[in-house]
Amino acid sequence: MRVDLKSLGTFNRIGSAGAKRAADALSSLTDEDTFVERTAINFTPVDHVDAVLGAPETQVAIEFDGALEGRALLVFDEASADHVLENLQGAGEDPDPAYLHEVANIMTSSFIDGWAEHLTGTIDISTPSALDTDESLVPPGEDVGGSSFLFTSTIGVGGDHRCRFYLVPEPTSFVGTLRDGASNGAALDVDVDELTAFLQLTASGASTVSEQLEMLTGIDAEVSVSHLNFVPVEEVPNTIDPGTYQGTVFQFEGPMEGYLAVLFDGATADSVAEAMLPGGADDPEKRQGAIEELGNITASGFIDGWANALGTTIDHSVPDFVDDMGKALLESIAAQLGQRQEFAYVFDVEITAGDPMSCRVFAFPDEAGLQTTISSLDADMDVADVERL
Amino acid sequence: MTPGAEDRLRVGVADATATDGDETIVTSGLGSCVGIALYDDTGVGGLLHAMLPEAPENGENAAKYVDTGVAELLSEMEALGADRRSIKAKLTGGSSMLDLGEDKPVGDKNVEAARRVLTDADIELIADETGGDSGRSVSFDPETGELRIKRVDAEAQAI
Repeated sequence: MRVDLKSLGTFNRIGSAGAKRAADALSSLTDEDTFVERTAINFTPVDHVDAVLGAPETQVAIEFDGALEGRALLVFDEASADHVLENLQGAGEDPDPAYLHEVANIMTSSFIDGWAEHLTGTIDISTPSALDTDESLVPPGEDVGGSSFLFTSTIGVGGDHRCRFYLVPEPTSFVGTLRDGASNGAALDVDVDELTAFLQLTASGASTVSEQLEMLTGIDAEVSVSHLNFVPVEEVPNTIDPGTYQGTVFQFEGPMEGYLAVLFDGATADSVAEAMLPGGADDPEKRQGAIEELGNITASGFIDGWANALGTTIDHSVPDFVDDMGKALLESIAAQLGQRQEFAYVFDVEITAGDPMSCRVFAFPDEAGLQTTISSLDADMDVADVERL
Repeated sequence: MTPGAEDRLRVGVADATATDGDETIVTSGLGSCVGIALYDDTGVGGLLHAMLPEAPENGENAAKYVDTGVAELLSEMEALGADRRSIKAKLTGGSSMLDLGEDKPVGDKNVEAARRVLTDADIELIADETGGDSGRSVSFDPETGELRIKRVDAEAQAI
């Protein structure tokens, strides 16, 4: 089954407009300022979806069907749920937490309206319900090759509080919708199974990298999230939390060109440097050398995997050491990409261990190279057989 | 633009806002993008966070580009009653944080475009703090015209 990745641009715009309407609805309900912090379309292995969603917290699920089928989920952390309830207009003092279901209902209706308009059909939504904590957001068997599309929006409310809104379209019908909504002009046509194979190949590269990180640092590391983001280039900086990061940025060249960033948040950079240089992590040069070595290993783990699966070579540059605001770093990469394309296809991998270990790896392939690479893959390959390093 | 904490307007990437109120306008994570602050003598001001120098034909988001972004911000300010003849500018950003081996860093292109567009619009550039290799966070007070710039490794400075 083939889809035009460029049509995701249209759906990203619908999703962004829907998130804005949902945020406006929340503002009307609470009389608080609201703002959309980030929106993205993810293509995610099903077994990573729940990690993308994060901790269960306070969740309200709504099913929808008609012109678009699937499930929406509104997630608050406890403090934000309390904040919304306290400010809910007309709910009185000490409102029943069940009012959050009504909030979810109104926000989902607002979000879905634009879809119904675009798809020229009606979309019915169910009564909201709590999602069981052991229930996966993607029902068993409802995936495309083990992966799922996922719309994510983070909405700030009242300054310091936020909620997350997810929409998981039923994959098979959504792929049909994507095919029908194919963009005019140059297409970026790929086979969904090959796209899934590429995602699995990248996730497998992430696992290899986490094993090597563990070997080098002795820190018990694992891949918690590995997915492909489709975002307008200007949204790229929003994929990382505020704060300072240390790491390395590479350029890669070959059948697929682009950039790869390996970023450790401040506390993690301290932990890994100390683990690699016991007692010597205060020396800036040695510390930089250790971070660069980790970056090199990480870059090779991903890039060699892609190259070997294709039976070709993809070269990468020497590491460029960075120590600065994560958002500004990603913005600089996005601006570079933005000179040639409107959308970024971002492989976003999070490697975590016991707190405070968080390593983010972002790969930004050029869109033409990505299409060639995906189309060159054998959709039935066994990613475990792909040689790395 | 989106309202954030009280008395603070947040500007995202490829975004702009204007105000005739007493809010401070903030934007963070400026890398190779430029921040262009415009203000007049009546207290109307605005901030643009532009990512690329020039809009292509049919560019959809005006604030993503320096040329169309400045034009949009000027229109927004004039709609709020700005005195066009007294509008002045301050400029920051355009750093080269990454050694990506390109011919001319996009940060430099953005700064050049900003100067050209402001000259063409007959707007005086009062002060600037651009280039370098680090990211910036910016806070702009349209009433006084003060643009405060913060880097990770340096004291905040005001221009």
